[in-house]
Amino acid sequence: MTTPLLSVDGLSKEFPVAGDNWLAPRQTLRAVQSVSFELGSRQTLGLVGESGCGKSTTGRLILQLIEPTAGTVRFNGRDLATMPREELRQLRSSMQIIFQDPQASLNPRHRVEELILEPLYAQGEKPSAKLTNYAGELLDKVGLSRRHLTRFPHEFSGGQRQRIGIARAIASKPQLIVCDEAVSALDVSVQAQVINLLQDLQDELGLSYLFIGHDLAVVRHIADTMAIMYLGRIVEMAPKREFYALPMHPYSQALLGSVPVSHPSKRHARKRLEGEIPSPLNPPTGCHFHPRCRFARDICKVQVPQLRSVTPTRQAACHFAEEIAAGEGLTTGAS
Amino acid sequence: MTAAPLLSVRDLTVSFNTRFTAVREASFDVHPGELVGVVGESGSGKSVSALAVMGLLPPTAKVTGSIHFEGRDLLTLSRRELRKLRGRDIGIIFQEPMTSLNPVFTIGDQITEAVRVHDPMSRKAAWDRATELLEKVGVPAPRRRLQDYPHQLSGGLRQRVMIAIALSSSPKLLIADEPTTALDVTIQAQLLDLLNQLRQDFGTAILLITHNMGVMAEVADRVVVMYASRIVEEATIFDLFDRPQHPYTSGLLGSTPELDGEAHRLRTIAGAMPNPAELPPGCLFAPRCPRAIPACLDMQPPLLPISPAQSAACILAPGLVAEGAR
Repeated sequence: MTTPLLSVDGLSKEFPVAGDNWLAPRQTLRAVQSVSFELGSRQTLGLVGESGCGKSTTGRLILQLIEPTAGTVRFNGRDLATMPREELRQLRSSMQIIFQDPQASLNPRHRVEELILEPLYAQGEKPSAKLTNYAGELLDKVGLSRRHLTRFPHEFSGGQRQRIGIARAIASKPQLIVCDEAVSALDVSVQAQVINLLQDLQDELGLSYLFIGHDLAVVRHIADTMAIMYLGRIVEMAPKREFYALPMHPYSQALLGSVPVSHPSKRHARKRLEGEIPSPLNPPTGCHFHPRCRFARDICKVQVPQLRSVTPTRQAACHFAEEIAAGEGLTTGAS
Repeated sequence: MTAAPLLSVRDLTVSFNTRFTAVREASFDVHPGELVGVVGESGSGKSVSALAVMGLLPPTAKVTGSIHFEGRDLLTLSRRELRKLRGRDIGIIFQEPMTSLNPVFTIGDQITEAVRVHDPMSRKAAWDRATELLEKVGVPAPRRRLQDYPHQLSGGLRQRVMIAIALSSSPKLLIADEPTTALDVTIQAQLLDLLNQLRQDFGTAILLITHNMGVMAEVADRVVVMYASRIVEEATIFDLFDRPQHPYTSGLLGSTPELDGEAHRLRTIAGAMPNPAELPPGCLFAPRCPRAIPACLDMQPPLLPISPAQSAACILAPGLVAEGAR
């Protein structure tokens, strides 16, 4: 078997948080708990969940922007945590990130050329006519033009700024790009343009994406594999087609059921997920999802369900995944 | 619908200075009990239209046209009269409930204040009414929640509190400006259900502003589509999805990611929204329109009816072709 491009194993991150008042003890926020997955070359993993589920933290852990509490991240088979600093710095050109808010991630005092070439300067390259030309090529590639090179970020619309962010991400010829809610802030018509652009670039440059998002309809258009997170844990992982045909975890089902319909004729009284996401500071015992789960039984309150293979291609972290998938749980659990 | 509209907006134009016009000649109606959606992207003028109806535009805004609510033109009312109407007959919900709630007062203080402004009653009675309202909008343990400050609530709960305040005077019209945009999708779904339920229980008409076609598909009866300050199409929700007449509407529907069917490549609308300070001549959508013909650059097509329930502002829309060619 070939080594996957990215291999994440048991990744965890805990943040210390001050107590409610100065007398209260410090608390621990377990933002990411034992996350494991692999991402192959030219593949896209869609990492989906709601606010506070740990999806963005996972992305930052993978890029070593923050230090994991436990677990390993291997890139081309090499453990990033044990890698010498200098080597890691060089490797960074192979791993890039696109942020949600291009307004906040582009320095307003830098011209587009500087912004795009920043990752190369960070690798020790010096400004040159050749690099300027390269920056122009990158702009062409993302649907802007080289006459934009001397402009400042404020002269662009949100969609154009996101294109600049993409040009910067591909400048150092990376193999992996973490797209952290990269299209979430864009208007619908612009969002579609950027999604198509990301797909074209993937084909052309052989990129792998970790596509972090909250909108299952958007992620469906770009991901090959889906991973659903809830309160720090991956609760389900499956090939895209199988996932959308039949999500196995009750939370995935609820999440999919919450996406607005595509046509008014599909309005229906759906089983809505009740209640709110519990605080990650004080998550429920056992399965984190059990207080909101309509299939929950006693075991769910005490025993954490491990992410396990339910079929050869898919994994779910639910004690009753088989039953629910078979539709049996639909009658027994709901009563 | 034959009954008189509850809200009738005619030729609404809002400009902020001589150069920048946010809304141009917008006309639409909201009937009692109806949910009308206004959909558009950033800069389309949808929120400014809503603010105009609420009477909440800054004094620098120049507003022309008319906004009739139950037969009275809101634009001719004094600030005092308008204030009375707002809150009593017109409830308002904004996108970000944290900025609409006062952080230093409890939820209970704020709801009872709203209750007592329109209906003088004892503190105790107002407190009971507040509990009842929170219960109605699905806040668990309402009596305990009344003691909480806004920061102690999640985004979804805050928005429910805002809805409770808006409902405190049993308004005839609820204006909701992107009420679910800042929320997670499971919470959005809960709130859309709540809006639907409120319509059923109280017959409240709702004017819902959103950029999300999916939200429209979930709850709207009729939709007004805005593009770069103008209404380009108005239709019942089914006509809009089945037979969109304006190319912008089709484009918007095509670029919305969906859960059904093959995960095909998304259709896009080329280009970007025009700069409001340098608008193109003729039809504002022509530079991005895949169907544009030279005649499109000559004049801005007016919003004309195609059928009794659908209008479009496009010279190529069926039934308008003849007129455009003349």
